[in-house]
Amino acid sequence: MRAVRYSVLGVLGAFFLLPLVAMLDFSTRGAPGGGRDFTAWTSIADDRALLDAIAVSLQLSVLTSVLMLVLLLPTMVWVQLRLPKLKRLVEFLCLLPLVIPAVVLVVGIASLYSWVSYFLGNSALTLTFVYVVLVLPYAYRALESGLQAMDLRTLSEAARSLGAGWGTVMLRVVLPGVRAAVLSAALLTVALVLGEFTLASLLNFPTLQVAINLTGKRDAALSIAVSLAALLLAFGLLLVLSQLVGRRRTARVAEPLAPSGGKA
Amino acid sequence: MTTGAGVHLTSLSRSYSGVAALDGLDLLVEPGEFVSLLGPSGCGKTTALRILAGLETADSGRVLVGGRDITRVPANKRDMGMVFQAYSLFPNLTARDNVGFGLRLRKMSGAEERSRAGELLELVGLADQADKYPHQMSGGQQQRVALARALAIRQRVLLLDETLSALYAQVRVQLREQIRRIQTELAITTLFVTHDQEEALAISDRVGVMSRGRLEQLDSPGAVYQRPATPFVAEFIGVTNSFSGSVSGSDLLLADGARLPAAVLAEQPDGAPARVLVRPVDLHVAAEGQLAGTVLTHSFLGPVTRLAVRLANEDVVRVDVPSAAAAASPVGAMVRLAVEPGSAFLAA
Ligand SMILES: Nc1ncnc2c1ncn2[C@@H]1O[C@H](COP(=O)(O)OP(=O)(O)OP(=O)(O)O)[C@@H](O)[C@H]1O
Ligand SMILES: [Mg+2]
Repeated sequence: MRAVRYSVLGVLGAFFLLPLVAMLDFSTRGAPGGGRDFTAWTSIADDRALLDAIAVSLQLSVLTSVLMLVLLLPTMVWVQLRLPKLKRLVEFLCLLPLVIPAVVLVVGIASLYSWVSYFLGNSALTLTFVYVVLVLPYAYRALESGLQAMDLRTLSEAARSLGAGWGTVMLRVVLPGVRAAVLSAALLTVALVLGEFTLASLLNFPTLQVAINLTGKRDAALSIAVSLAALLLAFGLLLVLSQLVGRRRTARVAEPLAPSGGKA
Repeated sequence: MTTGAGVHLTSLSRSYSGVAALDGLDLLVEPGEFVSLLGPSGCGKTTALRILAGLETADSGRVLVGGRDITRVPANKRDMGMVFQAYSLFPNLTARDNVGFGLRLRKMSGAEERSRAGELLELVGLADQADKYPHQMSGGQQQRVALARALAIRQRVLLLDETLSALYAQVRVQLREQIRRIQTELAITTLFVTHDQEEALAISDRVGVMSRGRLEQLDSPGAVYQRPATPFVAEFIGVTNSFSGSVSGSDLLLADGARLPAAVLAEQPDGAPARVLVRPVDLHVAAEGQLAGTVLTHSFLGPVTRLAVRLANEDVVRVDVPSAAAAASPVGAMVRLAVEPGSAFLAA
């Protein structure tokens, strides 16, 4: 049994790690015969365009996460408490981007963007709006599972009868209750935004993936190095966030239980 | 010290997709009074309470508290404490912070909040649990913290919706006595919803029996028990035996010729069909009894044992006998039953 478990783990590990190792190998392969060569990695820091692109993508992921939460969470709470009949519709709308190919999406959005850029200038950060639509299905699922796990109705009614307005209910009751779900929705958003290429490229905005693609045409080793760095960054972020969520849970469970026994 | 405000609900109606949950409910509760709303599942108890708390809106009717019309005031401005049937503590806060939640919203200073929260936890006997999280407490403890939380903001009306239902018998009895003691101490007007008639009779100043969205009777526990205003109330408050027949003087003439003395029938015309209700405690096993039957089962209830007896006409009636005397009527025995004079109620 144990052997099976470890071999499954090994195969899966190899499946994920091999491409990464290959990337590392490729990006540090110097001239034939010479040893390892890290110029591709060190030159990331010298490439202005790349650095700018990284900055843009990071800002985009933060903006998208925030806008997504501000739009989605109160809507979902309101629908669940006040308009349960609309729930199916909202769910359907949120999942829609999943079935619309990015290329189709861009055709519709391109014309809209002439307006967006007219009002907001054509900063790459305006991509936030499209990305919010793009992450809706994933964020919706994550938040939905969080909201289902708490007794939203009773808790919000308890808070209201104690004198809390809707704003307080959102900040003091809902948000702490769906902390883990909010973190995982944000995480999915960050991962998606950092990895998105099609829309940025078609709308002609210099995000990380677009920059990597451009660099790849000029310097393959550099573009692979950046890709790997971006991947590792995303992994790191994922690890940190999941630690944050996990730590809190285990900390709570580890506290001594009442003699009568609580529900951990 | 808190002083309760009077509550006045006038012809409240509320229907859900055409089905009436409340159908013109009128209820007047005096300041500081403890009133229980009792009734079968679905009769509108929770709906009435939620409308009073502002968590639900009535289709028509008005809600007055302390003489002020608050029908349109939102829930968070009503200053009513509510304890729900479901566990409703905020899971991310300790018992103390839960109790302090309403105080913080009222801009009380941190020190003041802590001392007031401590005071209330003391009141419900949980001072030593102040730093525990809800999931570390038992159900009974959680409900007591919820009670402390509802009382902390010194509101004038306390609403309890089947607060004790999720708890097991012993804790239930303890907690209901504690609630009653605290309520008397604070003189806070309290509406207590339950479907447990024993619970309602035990702790209330007055009991309101509801049926299909209306109040059938609102009276002291003794009056509701001894003088049920309607057959529904009689049947709901523990009268489980029903006899059908026709009026004959002040007796009920059963189909098999047996006669059941029932003073309530005296004013009824002879020969009219009638149904009469008798409590199990008001039937006795007696050699000279008017009814004959066979004992089917014994259920031991402590001081009394309840016998199920099948009468000649196949009806099964329940009879409470002192447990010490139960052995005299074993399962399978033929017994005769007598009715306590003046104990029968007239049914619809
Ligand atoms: N949100 C709702 N949507 C639809 N119907 C409802 C809703 N709330 C209550 N009802 C209906 O209104 C009626 C009264 O419900 P209510 O919850 O007040 O009953 P109750 O007396 O509290 O019953 P219980 O003892 O089972 O709690 C029921 O028929 C119920 O199905
Ligand atoms: Mg109810």
